[in-house]
Parts: sequence; C-alpha cells; structure tokens
Amino acid sequence: MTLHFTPVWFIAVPLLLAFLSPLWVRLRLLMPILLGAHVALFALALSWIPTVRVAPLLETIVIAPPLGIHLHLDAVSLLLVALFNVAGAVVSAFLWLSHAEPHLRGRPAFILILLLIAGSSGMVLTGDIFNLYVFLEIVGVSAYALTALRRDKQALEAGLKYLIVGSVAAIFILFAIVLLYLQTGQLNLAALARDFGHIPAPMQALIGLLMLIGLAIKAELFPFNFWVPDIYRGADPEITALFSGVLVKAFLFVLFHLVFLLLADPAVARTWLMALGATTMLVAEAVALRQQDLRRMLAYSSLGQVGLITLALGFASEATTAGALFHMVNHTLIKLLLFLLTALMLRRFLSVRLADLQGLGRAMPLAAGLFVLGALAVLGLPPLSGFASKLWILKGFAEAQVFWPIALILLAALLEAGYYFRWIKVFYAPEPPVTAGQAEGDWAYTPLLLIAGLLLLLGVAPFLLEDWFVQAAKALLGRGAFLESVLGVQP
Amino acid sequence: MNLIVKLLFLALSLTPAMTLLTWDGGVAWPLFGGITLLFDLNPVPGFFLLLLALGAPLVALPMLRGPRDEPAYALYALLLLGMQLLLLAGDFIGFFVGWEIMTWSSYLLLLRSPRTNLEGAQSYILFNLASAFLLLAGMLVFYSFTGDFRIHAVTGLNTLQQLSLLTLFGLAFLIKVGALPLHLWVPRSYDQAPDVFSAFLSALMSKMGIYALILLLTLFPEGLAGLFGQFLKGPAAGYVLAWIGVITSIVATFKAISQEDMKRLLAYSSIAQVGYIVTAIGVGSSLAIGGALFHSLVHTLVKLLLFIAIAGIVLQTGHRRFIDLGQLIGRMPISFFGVLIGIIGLAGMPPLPGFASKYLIYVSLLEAHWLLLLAAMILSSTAAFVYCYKLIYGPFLGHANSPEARVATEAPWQYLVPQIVLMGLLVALGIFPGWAIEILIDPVLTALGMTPIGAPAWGQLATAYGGYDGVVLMSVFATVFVLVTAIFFLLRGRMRQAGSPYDLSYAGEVPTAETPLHYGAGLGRELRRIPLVGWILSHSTQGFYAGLVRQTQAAAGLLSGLYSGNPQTWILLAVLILAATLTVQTLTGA
Repeated sequence: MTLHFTPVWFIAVPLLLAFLSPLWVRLRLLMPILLGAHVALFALALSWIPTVRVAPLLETIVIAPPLGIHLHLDAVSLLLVALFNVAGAVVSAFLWLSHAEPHLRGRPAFILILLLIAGSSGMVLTGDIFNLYVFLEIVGVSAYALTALRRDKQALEAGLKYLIVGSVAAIFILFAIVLLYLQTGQLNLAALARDFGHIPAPMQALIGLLMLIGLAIKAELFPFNFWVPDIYRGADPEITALFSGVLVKAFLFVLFHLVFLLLADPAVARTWLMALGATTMLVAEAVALRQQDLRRMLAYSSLGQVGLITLALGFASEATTAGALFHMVNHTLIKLLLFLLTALMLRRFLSVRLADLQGLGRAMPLAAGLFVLGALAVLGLPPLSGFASKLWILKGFAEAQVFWPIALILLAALLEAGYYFRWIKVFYAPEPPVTAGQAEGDWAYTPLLLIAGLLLLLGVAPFLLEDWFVQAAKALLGRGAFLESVLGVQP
Repeated sequence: MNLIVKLLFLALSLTPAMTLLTWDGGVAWPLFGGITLLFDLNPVPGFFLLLLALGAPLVALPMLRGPRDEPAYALYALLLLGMQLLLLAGDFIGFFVGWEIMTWSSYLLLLRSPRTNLEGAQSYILFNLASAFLLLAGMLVFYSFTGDFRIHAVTGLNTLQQLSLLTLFGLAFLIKVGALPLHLWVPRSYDQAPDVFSAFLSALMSKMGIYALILLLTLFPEGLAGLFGQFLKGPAAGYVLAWIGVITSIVATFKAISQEDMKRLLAYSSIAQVGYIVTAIGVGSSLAIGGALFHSLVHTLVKLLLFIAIAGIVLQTGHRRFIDLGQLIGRMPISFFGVLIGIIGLAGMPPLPGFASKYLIYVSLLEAHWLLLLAAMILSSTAAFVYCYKLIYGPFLGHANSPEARVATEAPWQYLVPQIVLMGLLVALGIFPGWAIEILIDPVLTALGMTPIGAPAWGQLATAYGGYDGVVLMSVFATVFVLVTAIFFLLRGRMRQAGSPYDLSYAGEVPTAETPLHYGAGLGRELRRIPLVGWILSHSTQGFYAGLVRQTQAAAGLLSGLYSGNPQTWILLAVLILAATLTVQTLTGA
C-alpha cells in the first residue's frame, strides 16, 4: 500500500495524534511526538513546493465544490502552513529541551498545541467559509485554554478575558457569514467571490464591516487590539510565542484572503486597510516606549509589526504583498526567538521587569546576545532577514511612488529602536545581576540558535525563498486564478 | 590560547589593509527582486579605505591590553567589515548595509564601557538610526526617480526632486558628521565610549560621513553648482553647507575650550575639525575637495594620536579631568610628545601637515571669494589654539593634583607603539605635503572629474596662490628645536633648579602641597563674559532633545491609557465603531 499524501494530513495528523495522547503518555513519548509531528508536517509541506508551483492543489472532501467542502493548497497557504509547523516544531523542541514547567509538558498542553496548529492550518487551507468558522472556533478554544493553562490568578484572568473578547469577535464573523449565506446561498469561498458583487451595496458594506471588525479583533488591529497586552502578559511566554507567531498570522491571512477574494477591486478597501495598519503600527510602537514588563513590550512590538504587515498587504501591489509575506515569516521567527528568550529570562530572574533585568548580559550572555540579534532583526537592520523583508516592502512603495507609508514605517522603526535599545542597554548595564531562579542547560538554546541561524541566512541570502514569496503573493492576489481553479474545472 | 586569540584579532584588524592591497575585480551579490549588491574598489572610497587600513590596527593594538575580551574583538571585526562594505559598495543597498552594520556594532562596543549611561547610549543609537533611516528614505526616493539603486550621477531631475534628494541625504550625513545642531550624540558618545574606541569613533567613523557627503556631490551632474547657480564664485547651494560647517566649528571650538574633561574636549574639537571639512565640501572646487581630503587624512592621524595618548593617561592615572592631572611631562614623556605633535597638527600650525590642509581650504575660500566665511573660519581656527594649549598644559605641565598623577608611569607599549607610528607619519607628511597631494589626493580628484592639484616636488605644496617647501620648513623647525634643546641641556646645570612645584613668585602667601593649584583647569571659564561666546556656551540643544523625548513619552502615556484592562470597554468600542460607521454610511448613502 502506498501512502497517499494529501493536504488533509496537515489537519488530520495533529488531530489523530492528539486523540492518541493517552498512549503517548504511557510510552513517555509526549514531547518527541509533538516535535516529530511538526517536523514531519513541515517536511511534507516542503515536498509540495514543486507541485504547487504548477497549479493549486484541490483536495475535495466527499463531493466536489461548490457543493462539497474542499481544501485549497496554493503557494501562499503552503507557505503559511509550513511556517506554522516550523513554529510548532520550535516551541515543542524548546518545551522538550528546556526545564519547562510541568503544566507545559503535560497532556493538556500537548493536545492544545496540536489543536492550535491544526486549526490554524485549517483556517489557511479551507476553501469554505463555514469550515473557516469551525477552524476559527477550534483555534479560539484551544487558545483560551492555553492562556489559562498555568492556573494562577493572572493566567486565569487572561484566559477569561480572551474567551470573552474572542467570542465576541466570533459572533461578528458568524453574523457576516450568515448574512453572506442569506444573500447568496453559498458557503464556498470561490462561489461567494463570484456572487458577492451581486449583493446590494449597503448589504456589502454591512457584511464587510462585520467581517472586518470580527477579524480585526482576532488579528489585533487598532482600535480592536486593546486586549492583546493583557493576554500576552498573562499567558506563559512559550504560549505567547505561538499566539504572536502563528495565530495572528493565520487571522491576518484570513482577513486579506477574504478581502482579495470578495472584492473584485481591492482598491476599494485599500485606504481603510492601510489606515488601519498605519495607526496600529504607530500607536503600538509609541505605547511600547513606556512598557516596563518585557512581555508587554513584546506584545506591543508584535502589534506594531502586525500593523506594518497590514499596511503592506493593504496596498495590494505584488511587491509589497510579497514583502509582507516575507515579513510575516520573519516576524514569526523573531517573535518566537524573543518570547522563548523571555521564558528563559523569567525562569532565571523570576521577573521580566526592566528594573529586575539589570546586568542580564553577565548572567545569561547567550540569551542577551540572541535578544540583541532578535531586536536587530525586528528593527530591520542588516544583515538580518528583517532588513530584506522591510526593504522589499519599502521598495514596493517606492516603485509605486507612494511615499507616506515609507515615512511612517521609518518613523515607527525609529520609535521601535527607542525601546528595544533601552532594554539592550539595561541588559548590558554594569550593575551585577540579581538572579533568583535556576540556570538553564545549554540544550534549551538549540532551537533558538536554529532560529538565529535562519534569520541570518535569510538576511544574507533572501533569494533562496524569493521565488516562493513571489508565487505566494501572486496566489494571494490572484482572484481570477482562484475562481478558475475551483469553479472552472467542474468534474 | 590567550596569545593566539589576540594575534588573531590583530590579524583581523589588518583586513582593511589586505582589502586595499589585494582587491581585484568587482563582486556582485544578488539579494532579491533584481537588487544586486555591487562591490568594487574605486579611487574615492579607496582613499577612505586607506585611512581605515591605517587606523584599524593602530586602534586594535591598545585594545589588546588587559584580559582578553572576545565580544569586543568580535564586534570590532564586525565594525571593520561594515565599514569595508560601505566603502566598497557600488550601490546604495550595499552602502546602507555597511552603514547599518557599522552603526549597531559600534553601539554594542560603546555599551562595553562602564561609563556609558542610558542617555549616552540612546542618543548615540537614535541619532545614528535617524541618520540611517533618512539615508534609506533618500535611497528609496532615488530609486523611485531612477529605477535603480546604483550610485551614479542622475540627470534630468527637476529642482524639487534634486532638493528632496539633497535634503534627505544631506541630513543623514550631517547627523553622521555631527554638524550643529545635530551633534548631541557626538560629545556624549566620544566621552563615554571605551577610551581607545573613542579614537576610532572620532578618527575613522566620522570620516564615513565625510565620504558620504563627497559621494552626495557625485549624484548631481554638476555637483552643488548645478542646483541654484553661483554665489560669488562658488556654488550657491554649497554656500549654505559651508556656513553650516563654519558655524559648527566656531561653536564647537568654544565649547571645546570650556570643557573640563579631556575626552569631551577632544570630542568637541573633533566636531570643529569635521566642520572645516564640511565647509570645504561646500566650496566644492578641486582645491577645496583636495583640502577636505587632506584634512580628513590629517585629522584621522591627529585624533588617533591624541585619543590614544589620552587613553594612556586615563589608563595610568584613572583621571580624565584636567583638574585632577598635571606634571606628567617627566613621567610620561612619550605621551607628552604624542600630545605635543598632536596639538600642533590639530591647530594647523607649520611644519605639520595640518597647516597644509588648512591652507588648501583657506585658498579655496579665497578663490570662491567667500571672504566672510574665510574670516569666520580663521576665527575658529585661532580660537582652537586655546584648547590646544589647555590640552598640553592640563595633563603635562603645572603641578600634579591627585595622588595618582604624582606616581603615574609611562603608558604601556601597546599604547606607545601607535603613538610613535602616528608621530612619524605626521612628521613625514609635514615634510612631504606634495607627496600626499600627488599620490593620495590627485587620483581621487581625477576620479571625481576635477582638475588635480599637482605638486612640483614631493616636498612642496603649491597652489596658484603660493605654497611652501615642506623639507625646508621642517629642517628649519628641526634645527631650531635641536638648538633650543641643546642650549637648554647645556645651560641646565647652571640654571637654578626650582626647589618645589610651589616655589613660585607670589605676591601673597606661598601655596602649600594641600593647595589645589592648576592653571589649565579653569581656562575657558572667563570666555563666558564675552557677549556672543557666553551666549553660545550657556545654550545647548540638549534641552530641545530632552523636550522631544518628554513629549514623545507623554504621547505614549496618553495612548497607553487606551489599552485598559477591561473587556467591557473593548467590546463596547467594537460595537460603537460598527454602529458609527454604519450610521455614517447610511447618512452619506455610500
């Protein structure tokens, strides 16, 4: 019997492994399985690159679209799925190799992380809007539970808040979906895209607005992102790394996938989305200046980068979109690095407040060095990968002769430098560090060094992935090709 | 092991020299999307690479003293790499990459000094990043005009386009050279950096700004002259730049005189000297650019010499303020000669090459008929004598004002070798100014499309407005020096030796060993009484930038009020925005 690889594996394998978790507990294989699953799925994703280059891969479940449901694997969804699995692999390797708290190594965490990655992959892959909603709920529920996993006051409060705000967002989205179904009688994305133009304009606006608000809450756009710092502060940094690295990226993708699909001319929403992105970026970078807690600071920094990505994607030119996708990848890698470092610092210093981390460079030289590397990458300084992606975005704007986003992006980068370098200065302060916790073994740094290497490699040789990003941008913007691949080839 | 690491580091510091000597053929590195980084060695950056090749090992040698410090060595190597990339780059992206690597690696080196405080570190990185981002913005504007990142002259731009390029690039590079009022970061960082590294910052990194300014001229087909036509006999656009340079140098000179700390004094002096170079670039004629290049060379040598000598004093005594030092002439004679040669070069007095370079700049100002500027520059140049005097008097003469200064010994050999090399180079350049013109500077001028200055002989400096013979001049000075020294030593036995440092002719009581007595320390205080100078000295840009930071922080505080921890507010806000937008849409009927 030959194994038949299909995109369903990205969703089915984690679910299956999660179901079998009692077995892994008995065999003491929980962490190896968690790591192995993500590595294997990442390898699977890589093996599909040549296929997807030729044409998107449609995986029909039961009956053909538009009636049945299907998964749609094209260059962009493949890129994100691969990214999610890398993130999953890095976090699970970190949990396995470091002295993580027991609640992060237990069965609940195992199941929830698998669910989170599977749900995110599902959101990206699905070609059906109701399916999208289902995955969105899977992801949401696992995220709420992961937030509250630590079971102390802060974590529980954060989990509860996340549950409330997440459910409200889901209601907005559900409303939009219901209205869409009432108006068109369709749930398939391609069919919806075909019929959306025929809906009366006020209804289009209502649906668009509901969808935008719902997804903006989820994708952390200003002014719907006030919940973010609290949740990021309350959850464990390892979990937050997944939120910032995987969850937000999935929702951003969904937002822009829907925008580019439903609107025949994305220029209608261009001003709105770019304004949203620019405000998110500037507000977040400004607020981050005053943060005294590393987790909150990183949360705002993450918001700032999300704003930047939104700004670039909103412009909807091929160059900025490719750059934004590249930046998404970079940002995921960087925030994984920074949040996992935060976890290490938290274990060593028992606090990640600015005042308590004085002289960290002496107690944890490698961690401080990696933090500097991550900060340089997030600021977009060469020779790290953040530079290449930011340059790609900026070049896209310059090609189109649009200069205000360039000015804002550079201003935001300067603000960002203002706080990142303040932290770096404190890390290298001459005062002796006060460490209360235990020192970490060298193994915990392996996944972090791997990320650092990737950041450097992608910064020096971005051409390695250039083709993939360009294909992905074409796939994301290529509404016609999407419709044709789903509706044009009826069996 | 220790020795191997240190030798390896020394070898790394020779990489700029290796690049300079062994470079053959260009290198292209494709980045993405049609952007290709081009690296090649051209005469203009080659000149600055020569400075780097000279300076890098001389700074590396004193860095080797003490326990080995691998992170510092690694960062220094990175810094050199960045600067080489910058100099070899044939396109803006490569230039920017080098520029940024230089910025952040030097920042991290700066942090290695225990004296660096938050303000110093933040102002260094933020000013430099602001400069870098302005550069990036300029690059992108350039790209949108030409569709290309290669550094080349662009034709067919209208005045607005030229002006936007000039503003963005000009601001970026003026921050880097520390022109007024964008200089806040310079004294702070030169002062707080590790002592030896200050030499690198002042001597070599500020030259990258100069290189960039010269590069800026090559972007426009006729240089600055093409922009707004002529003013008198020079370019009108350059006139503004020249004034920026001169005002910078005047203000910085007076600030330097009033400093109480050796390194801060040198930092302001550095700003002032670079100000002269900026003025010369503003003039833009071949004489002026030649003078600018020559002065860059001299300033690099002088500042390396002075900062390393001062670093040696700080190392041996632990003091950096004039008030704590004194009487080191007998204990640190080589450092004394280092500082002596250094200040003669700095003040631009014959027979050292500082005179030749300043002479070229003066002549170029004369040629452009910019006499007001010339007068202003001579004012600043003359006032510079005062801080030069302070620099030699404070540490070396007078009487020792701290226990450490009384027992200090000569600096270790790692500090002395570079000083001796630099003194030799300065004297040699003083003898052969024509050599520097013909071998080092004329190729650059030719590459810039200007008429070379030329020299009748290696020993002679010649311009249309006269010149001098370095060999004769140096021989005269050397003879006089030898004669005076000989007479001094011959007559020494017969001269009455001063019984003690306090054996001074006083009208009132004679001071005791407990009385603080130091002439050099208070020098410059009386300047505050001079009307304009007093105003300059009592004002600084610090308040403005502090205010800017405060306002930004306040705005951040205001905005962070939005991020309340209450879920009800979040939801209410979402619903309100939905309702408001819908209402607006229904009302406008969109």
